[in-house]
Parts: sequence; C-alpha cells; structure tokens
Amino acid sequence: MGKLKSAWEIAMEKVGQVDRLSSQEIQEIKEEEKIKAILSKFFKGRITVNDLWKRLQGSSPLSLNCAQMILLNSLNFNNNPYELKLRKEGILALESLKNTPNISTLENLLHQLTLLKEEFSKTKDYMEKKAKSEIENDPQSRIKTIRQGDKIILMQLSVDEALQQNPQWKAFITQHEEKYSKKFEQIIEKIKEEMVQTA
Amino acid sequence: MDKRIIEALENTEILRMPKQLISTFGSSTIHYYLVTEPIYLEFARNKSETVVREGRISWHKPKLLTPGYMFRIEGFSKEASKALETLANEFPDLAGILYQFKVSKEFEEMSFVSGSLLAVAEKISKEIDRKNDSLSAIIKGAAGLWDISLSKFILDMMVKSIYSVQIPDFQRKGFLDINKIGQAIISKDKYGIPLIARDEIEKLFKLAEEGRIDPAKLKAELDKWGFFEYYQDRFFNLFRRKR
Repeated sequence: MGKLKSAWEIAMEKVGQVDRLSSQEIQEIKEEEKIKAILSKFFKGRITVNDLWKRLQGSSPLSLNCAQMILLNSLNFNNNPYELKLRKEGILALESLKNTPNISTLENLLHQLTLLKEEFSKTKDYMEKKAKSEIENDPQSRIKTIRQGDKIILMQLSVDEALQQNPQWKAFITQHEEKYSKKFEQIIEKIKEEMVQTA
Repeated sequence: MDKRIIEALENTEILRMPKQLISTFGSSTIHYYLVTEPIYLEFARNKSETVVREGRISWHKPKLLTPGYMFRIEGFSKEASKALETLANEFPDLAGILYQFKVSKEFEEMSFVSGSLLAVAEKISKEIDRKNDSLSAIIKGAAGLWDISLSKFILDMMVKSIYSVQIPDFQRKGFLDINKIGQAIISKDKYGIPLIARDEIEKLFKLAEEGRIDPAKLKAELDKWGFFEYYQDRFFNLFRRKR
C-alpha cells in the first residue's frame, strides 16, 4: 500500500538541509499547518462541515488528501456514532472538492464502518441481555465470595456488577471487540488505498 | 483451577438439602452424609458398595458487615484484603455477610454400606424423614476428592441461606435494603451509622456495663466499625463508673 507523506514529514527528512527546501515545499508546510488549525476547529465543533468545505475550497489535491488523512487517522473503533458521522462527513466533503472525486467508493467504505459498529453493538446488546437474564435466574452468579480458611464473606452484587465480573462475559467481550476492531482497521486501510489512488 | 477439582465439583450433587438453612440470629449445625462410590469399585465390579462419610458442620451466627469493617478483620490474605479495601472505597454501603464455619472432626465417621450409591442415599433419606430431622443433608461426592464435594456443599448452603434467610431476615429488621440496581446495602440512621452497627454496639455496651465482657472487646468492635471517636465519651464513662 502506498503511503502519503505529509509536507512536514518530507521536510523532516531534509533536516540539516533546510536551505535546500524549495519555496514550494515551504508553502506546503504552511498549507498543512493551516489545514490542521481548520480541522482542530472542526473536531471541536466550532465549524460545521459546510464551513470546512468552504475554507478548503481551492486547496491543492495534496492538501485535501492531507486533511482527509488527518480525519481518517482520527477514526478508531471506540469513536461514538457522532464522532464517526462527523469524520465521515468531513472526508466526503473534502473528496467533493477534488478534480476527480471518488465519492461513491469512499461513501460506501465509510458506511461500512457505521454498519460494522452497529452490528457490533447489536450483537453485544443481545448477548448482554441474554447474559443478564441468566444471571437474574441464577442467584449464585450474583454472589461475590471472599474466602479465607473458615471465614467466608458473601455479598449480593447488582446484575450489572455480576456481569462485569463474570469470566465468560469478560472473555466474550474481549474476543468480540478484537474481532470487530480488526475488521474496522481493515476497512480503514481500504479507504487509505482509495485515497492514495485519487491523490 | 486443577482439572481434577473441576471434575470433582461437576460430579458433586446435593441429593438432599436440609429443610432448615443457616439461622440468622444464632448458630447452626448440619449433619451431613456424604456418599461416594469406593475408589476400588472398578476392581470389584460384581460387588455393589457405597462409602458413607458422616459429620457435622457448624456455623457461627452470621454477621452483617460493611466493606470497611470487613477490611479491618484480621486473617484475610493480602489479595483478599486488597479486594475488601477496593470494595470499601467503591461501595462503602455494600452489605456483606460473614459466615464462619467449622467441620467437626470428632463426629466424622466412615462406613462401607452394601448397595448402589443411589439406593444407599435413598435409605438414608428415609431415615432422615423418619426422624423428622430438618438439619441433615445428603451429598453425592467425588470418590477421591470428597473434601472438595463437602466444600461445595458448604458454599451452596451459604449461598442458599443468604438469599432465602439472611437477606430477608435482615431486611425485616431494617438493617439491610436492596437499592435500585439490586445491590444489598446496609441501612443507616440519620447520623450515617449503620443500624446493624448501632444494634451490635448497644448490646456490647450493655454487656460491658454489666461487667460481662472485657471492655477491650467493645473497643475492638468500635474500631472495626470505625466509630470509636463517635462513642469514645460513652466508652470512657465505663471506667469512671467503676471508680
């Protein structure tokens, strides 16, 4: 897979040779810093996706790709639906500014991220409901035991606490998260590949 | 956990629970019959025999506690103390019930009885019915690890008792409540003192005033509840009166 280097990364490779940075490269570094400042406002909700689109209108394809990459790299499996939606809209808005946009493919891939998260939550909720019902029907599983010799302390936990301490549930949730995080990362890689192609 | 222990636990079955569970306001003694197939069974296929072990398990009066009190009890391992400290910080009002038991060695007996395990268990059960004995239990245990089976029974007795007897009894007395999320929690008075603590402390003060217990026992109890400062004037009055 190809890797898009930021203007700053390219400049860093030339450390010690600052005098050899071209005026174009210096311009690119300035552009990248400008993009970061705009995106920072976007992440904080100070500007909308429309503002983002307007402010980056007329930017070079490289700058647009750089902005998209920042948005993409901020995507992770633990993002909440709002964070996911915000980044998705930002990436697509910037794609529309390119000369040869690839909106449908990107939209489809980004939508897959949403679907994946929904599938993860749906399965988790179903399993959680099932596990809680089992705990409710089995009082012993709600008892926390601390034992030392002939002394035993028993405590009745809430169903939620009992679930969080249940070894089977812990194993399931770890496995479930690992499985979906991996799929999520695979889709992110595909999106990066698409972006490299349109850069 | 050791595979053999897991197998022993899986092969343990409580064939008959005692009609009476662990009492909340006094001590309890259960007579157990633990039946197992003899280890030599595979070498004596034609001979049907069952090993019957009898004994008694006694429980002290269960004690309702807060995690803070539990943390101050001596004798727990570092890991257990750490777990109790965490609970004391996270859920200071979570109710815990301390059970202390003793397996009486002097009443232990072992005998070989003719007949299959279930037939022997049935015979013992009829005998219990005939005596109208509400404090006897029959456990089907694992041959080589019968002590694991007995431990499982002891734990089952406590788990059944906490739900069926101790929680309802303490609730009726107003010492315990179930909160919105289903935790059993300690009820407190307007000064933030658990009602069970106040009850226990009052009883000990009375005994100390009558000279029936060493005041050191009362002091230890006040320290475990963490209320010595609150009661200290009254505690020191015990000595003034003596003079």
